[in-house]
Amino acid sequence: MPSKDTDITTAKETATVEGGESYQSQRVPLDSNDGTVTIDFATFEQILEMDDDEDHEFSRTIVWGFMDQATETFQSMSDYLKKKDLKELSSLGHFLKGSSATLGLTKVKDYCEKIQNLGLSRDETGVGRIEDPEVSLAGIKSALDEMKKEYTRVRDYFIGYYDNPNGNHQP
Amino acid sequence: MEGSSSGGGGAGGGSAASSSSDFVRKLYKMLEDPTHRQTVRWSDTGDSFIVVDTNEFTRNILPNHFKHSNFASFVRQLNKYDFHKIRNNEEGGGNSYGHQTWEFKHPDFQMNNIDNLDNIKRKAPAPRKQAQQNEDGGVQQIEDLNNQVQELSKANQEMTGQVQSLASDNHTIIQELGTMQHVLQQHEERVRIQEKVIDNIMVYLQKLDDEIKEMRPVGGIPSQQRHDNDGRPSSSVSPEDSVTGPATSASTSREHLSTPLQRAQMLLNNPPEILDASPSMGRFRGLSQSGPSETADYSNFGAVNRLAQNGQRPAALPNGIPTVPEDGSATFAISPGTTMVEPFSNGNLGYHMQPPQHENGSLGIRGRPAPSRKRSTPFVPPNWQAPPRVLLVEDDPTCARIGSKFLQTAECSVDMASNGLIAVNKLNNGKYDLVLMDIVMPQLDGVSAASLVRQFDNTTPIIAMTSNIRRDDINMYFNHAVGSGVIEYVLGMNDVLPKPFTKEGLLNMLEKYLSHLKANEGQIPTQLNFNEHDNRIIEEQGTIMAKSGLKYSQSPSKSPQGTVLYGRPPADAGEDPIGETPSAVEDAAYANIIPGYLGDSTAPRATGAFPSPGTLAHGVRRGASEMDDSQQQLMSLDSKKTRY
Repeated sequence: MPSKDTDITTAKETATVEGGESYQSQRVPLDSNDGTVTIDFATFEQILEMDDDEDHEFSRTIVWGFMDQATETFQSMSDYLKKKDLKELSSLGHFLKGSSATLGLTKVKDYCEKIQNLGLSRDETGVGRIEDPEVSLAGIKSALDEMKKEYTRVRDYFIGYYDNPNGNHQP
Repeated sequence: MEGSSSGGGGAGGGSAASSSSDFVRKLYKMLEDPTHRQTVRWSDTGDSFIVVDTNEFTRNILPNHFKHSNFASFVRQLNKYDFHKIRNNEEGGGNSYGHQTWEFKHPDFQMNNIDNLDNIKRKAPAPRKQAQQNEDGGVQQIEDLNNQVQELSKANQEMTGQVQSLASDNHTIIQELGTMQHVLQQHEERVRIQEKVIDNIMVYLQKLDDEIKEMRPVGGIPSQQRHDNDGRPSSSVSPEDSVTGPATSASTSREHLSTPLQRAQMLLNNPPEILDASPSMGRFRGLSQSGPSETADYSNFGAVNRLAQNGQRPAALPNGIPTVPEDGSATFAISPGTTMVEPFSNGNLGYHMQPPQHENGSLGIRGRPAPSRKRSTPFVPPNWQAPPRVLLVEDDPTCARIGSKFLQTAECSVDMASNGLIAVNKLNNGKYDLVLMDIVMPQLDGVSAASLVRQFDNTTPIIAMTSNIRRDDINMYFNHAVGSGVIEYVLGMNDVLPKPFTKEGLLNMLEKYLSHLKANEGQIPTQLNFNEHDNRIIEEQGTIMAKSGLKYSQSPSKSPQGTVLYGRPPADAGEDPIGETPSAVEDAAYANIIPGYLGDSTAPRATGAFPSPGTLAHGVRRGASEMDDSQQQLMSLDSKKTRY
């Protein structure tokens, strides 16, 4: 019974990067920068649809609010890394996961999830256990670093997008 | 001695004629008398006099001069005239007078200066005045004291009052404490009862589990029965059928997934696998066997099956038996359990079957509705009689903002709470039609908040919003998700809306739980057509519902009338519809479970809604424009699965 569906569904990353050919035409291009930005535009578009006007006032507020939130959360994470507070780190990961997922920032969300799991002394996927707190902390640190990089790309993308919302971003 | 002293006394008395006092003159005379010199005399300086021998003086001289023999009286008399006793050592001569001597002095009483004697007056009045002054002072003092007493008594009164009020306060507090204790006891009692109830439920679930396992072997039979049922249009489904349905179907499709719980876990563990092995597949097989004509179309169902498996609309599969492909479109029988009364006869509602080619994994991939979700796709808010009051409980500002915006777009009146505690308070003080509850929150998490709310509110639907679907949490969420059927009120949550939620997911929830608030319930569904060319066939129930304004029952058990089966259109009469009733039920149950686990927002709706639109409309027709929506739904489902 299992078919390629199985493989496809399991491959999370793949899903966010490439869709079926049939969707291509309707998809909002994400490669306005270097093509590495990972935004689930289906999700993000939901928010764009909520905009009442061409100024994108609503979604702009959301996005900018998220960027503030992200910046603060990164700072907090760094602080708690120094304090080696895994519990807080996990909680922060969960916190940012919710909003990043809501915006369709798949990679940011994934990093958040990793941090959340690592903070609970689990492995990145949340399945296995990690007994050594130092290992968990190291994992969180690298996930945080990666997440910051991804966030920077996302931020640049958003800034570019809202600078010219009706530019080449729209199909 | 005696003679001289008496003589002296007489002389003194005779000379006392001036204004000066008798006593002073007598004293002066006495001192002038040299015969007493050894007893009493002027001092050497002449400004004081000395009583040398008090005994002799008292015995002999006093009687002679002053007619008494009391030295103390004499001294007192002297004091009255302001004479003062001089201490012995004060003068150099004091020593010579001896220690027994008394020396008295008055400024105007001097030897050889008799004139000054007039200046010596009794100071009697002075003492009397002083006494008066003392008396006056006493009155004042008394007044002062009285005042003080009054003040004190006043203060005392105040203090007493304060003490009394304190005492009464204290009493009140004690009473309140008692009340609190009482309340606390009641709470404890309640908690105990709840624990019991939960235990019972767990036992019940366990039993159910076991029963379902036992029933597994029988699964094959029910499915066949179903087919028979379907054949008869408008036959009502009995509750029993519905109950057994899920179990049987499950068994048919997947032997190892005997219970909903297991299935849910399976889904979580390995969603793709489940997709492939959907119950619908089993059914199809059965169908093909029973009806040769259907076999031909069988291939088409592959796509459908997959959809059903996704949990979107399991019911659709059974319903969608290709009957008479007139122009290549297959008609689906309507499934029972829905409130939809529209006879199948209006062939307008038809879904186009898709060719098997759709199988291409694209579905599984990007679950997100992205492709179909264009700006052009209208967001059609339900037509409410009055705006539903929705309480959005969410601590994350971004999610809260978006959620609230979504709800507003759906024309709901939104209230917000940033944690469980606030939510409980709001629910305690106000009426809401629906609660969307985040799980992980500060102060009070969503699960605890829900169980608190259930202590005073058993009716308001509470839907968990979470992205936190992990294996560890399965049981908890499972219980809550399953609660939508039997035990929802006890366990708190009615459903699960996975984060990040989608427009559709949200609409589905609104449709599912707030359909009673809609203005036009009885509308006939609009025509739904799917474009053949589209890869995905499946229709989104929620979307359809919203557009058509159809009301469907929320759960199979709740809508008896929904049990009516619709046969195919007359033309298709010859065909055997698939066993709708049982399958529908099963599907509903299945969908119920799946959504929570998969994080499929659309699925829950499938539970209740599924039967309705799907059943109605499922004549299959070609070339419809509505495809987009269905596609979206599908996509979103898949994407969600991938996500979690």
